[in-house]
Amino acid sequence: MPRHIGFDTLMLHAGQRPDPTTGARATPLYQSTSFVFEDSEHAASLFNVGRAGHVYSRISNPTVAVLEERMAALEGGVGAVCTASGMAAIHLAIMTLANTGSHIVASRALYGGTHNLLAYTLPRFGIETTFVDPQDPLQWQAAIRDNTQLFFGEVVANPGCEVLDIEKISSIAHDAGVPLVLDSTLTPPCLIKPFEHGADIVVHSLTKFIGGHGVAIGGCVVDSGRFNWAESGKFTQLSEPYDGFHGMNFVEEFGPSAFAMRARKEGLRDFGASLSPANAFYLLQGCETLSMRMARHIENARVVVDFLASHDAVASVAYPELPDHPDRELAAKLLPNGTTAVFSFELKGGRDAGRKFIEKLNLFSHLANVGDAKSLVIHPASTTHSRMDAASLQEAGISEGLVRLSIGLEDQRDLVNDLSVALKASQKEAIKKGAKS
Amino acid sequence: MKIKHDNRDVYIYTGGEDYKPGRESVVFVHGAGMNHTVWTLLARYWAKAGYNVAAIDLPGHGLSGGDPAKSIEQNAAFICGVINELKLSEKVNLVGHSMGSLVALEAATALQSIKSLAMLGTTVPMAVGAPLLDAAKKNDQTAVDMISLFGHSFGSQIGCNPVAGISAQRLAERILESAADGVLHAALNACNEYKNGLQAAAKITCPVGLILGEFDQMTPRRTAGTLLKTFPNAREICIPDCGHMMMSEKPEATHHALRKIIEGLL
Repeated sequence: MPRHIGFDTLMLHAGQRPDPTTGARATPLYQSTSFVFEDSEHAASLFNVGRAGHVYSRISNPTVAVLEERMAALEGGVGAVCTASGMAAIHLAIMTLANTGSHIVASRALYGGTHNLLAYTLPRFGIETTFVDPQDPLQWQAAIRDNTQLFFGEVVANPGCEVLDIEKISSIAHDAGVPLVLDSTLTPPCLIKPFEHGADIVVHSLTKFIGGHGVAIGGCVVDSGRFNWAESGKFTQLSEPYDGFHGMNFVEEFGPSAFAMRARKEGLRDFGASLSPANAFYLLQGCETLSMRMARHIENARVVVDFLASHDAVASVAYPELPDHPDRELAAKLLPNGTTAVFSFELKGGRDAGRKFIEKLNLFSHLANVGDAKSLVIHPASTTHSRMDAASLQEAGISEGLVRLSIGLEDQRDLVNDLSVALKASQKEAIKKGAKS
Repeated sequence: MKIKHDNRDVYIYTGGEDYKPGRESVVFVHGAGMNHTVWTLLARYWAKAGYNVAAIDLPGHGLSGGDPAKSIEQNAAFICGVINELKLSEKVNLVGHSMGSLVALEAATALQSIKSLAMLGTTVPMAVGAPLLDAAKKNDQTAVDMISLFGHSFGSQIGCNPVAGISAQRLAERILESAADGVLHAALNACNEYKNGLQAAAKITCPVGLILGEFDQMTPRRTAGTLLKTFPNAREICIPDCGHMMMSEKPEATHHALRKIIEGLL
């Protein structure tokens, strides 16, 4: 019995074959806004979805399509739609599923930008969210309303590293007739394929580990093709004729790829947050080495976690592989190849120690990103999660002294040395400030 | 749209256009465990081109009700009945894929006004291996995997689908997985048991086109020679770098091949 093409092969090849015209082995960068029709009939057929092909790069582009097909292959989905950013991917997924008056049940342990979208922006458009403890299935269950359209969470939350019990939460979602949409940005598909555990839609910020080199912003939405939109009865935008596209009924006409097709035909067309071909080209370069890089990211992260966990200046480290982490068993089950390389720790000495620590780091770069080949550091309470009030911060598990690290691919000794110097300086600062006060 | 035929629901995809009397029709018949969605692009094209289009879900498949038919002949009788019910009996272009190609062939012998017959991914006899039949009988996922892996060329498993962002292979898997228990086995068994292919082919006088994938492992191109020669008036179109699932693997090449057959340009 032959087997499906392996992950690492797909990582390098999925969606692209040597260019038939030029023989180019690398994916060509089709930096073109639009594509010439063969004749009037061809043009009409493309607009009518009677033939396959590209029309305009807001809706599809050959370079972007390679990345889309690659992400679909790596996640095991039926299709993918790339977007201008990870946030655009979350927006596209939600807007394809929800309407004015819809309700979302979401984990309260989310990236700050996602929290902003759900808590502040979407309510302006009549979409409300109830935030729940991701570890408490009863809270997910209790939050369901008649107008609930989707569950949303992160596989491993940013920055607290809470691990979602995908099987349990997806089962509750499915019983309610709604899909589970998961942000798997911190856990690329070489670590976990959420569809294998019950998720229905996966979103990624490709900017992070998948691109991996901090050179391009992008996102994608991947459709498992397994959610039964018609049976749910909640998704008439997919299961009934859509006047905005020649009366197209996406479920009847595209079956398992209904969601992905609708997201493109409506969401990219009308919202327009499409990925640029140039960024797709850069992201594809990163994608080619994803599993090799992730193995090193994880290896380095484990070394740094061990170092921090035993350091006197560190109050706690939130990493699901540590013995005292509440999600240790779940992480070991869902993420046997490693949890992630983004995590946070609590520094002793409060805000001043934190400031000194970040200032004294030489190798770690202080910036607002994660998943780069280079190691990064940030103070969430004053940056990525700064729009959250104290109560929301507490709910999201973020204290004012929390520091988030994204561990890169550098020499492990250099990472530890850099942290060691900065930790020492931070404690001196804390003592100094303490003496003055 | 849905109609009632023999007291069961029958789903017919019209390609997004309403029927108009007097037009030529194109009738699509899908393969084992599949459904009308494998024809969406082609159906929309021919409907917009001014044909009455019917991509029919066979009994038990897709959105049609009832139990799956046990034989190719029963499926063909069903297709003929639906064509008559829809009053599509003038100038019918019959298009079938895999098992559907045998159904279309058998139906063509019974219909009066066939203008053309297109058989995609076809051969006669269409023997199905025991491991696949056994797995399908047990409703085992390995049946889906076998069809997925043997049904798509290596190139198509890598991808490069002109339908942006969609994995042709995964799409086929999801369609097969969505079939009710027993449907795939009944259809594969019907292929395996069908003995009348060459006799039926000898009776077909309309132009016939065989659209075959260069790397088809399920109905290998080299095995279709006898069938091709048996038709009084048939030609073969080979789609390069393509396996058994040509509509999703090579939609543009399949489109051009089908146009040649339906527009009489073979």
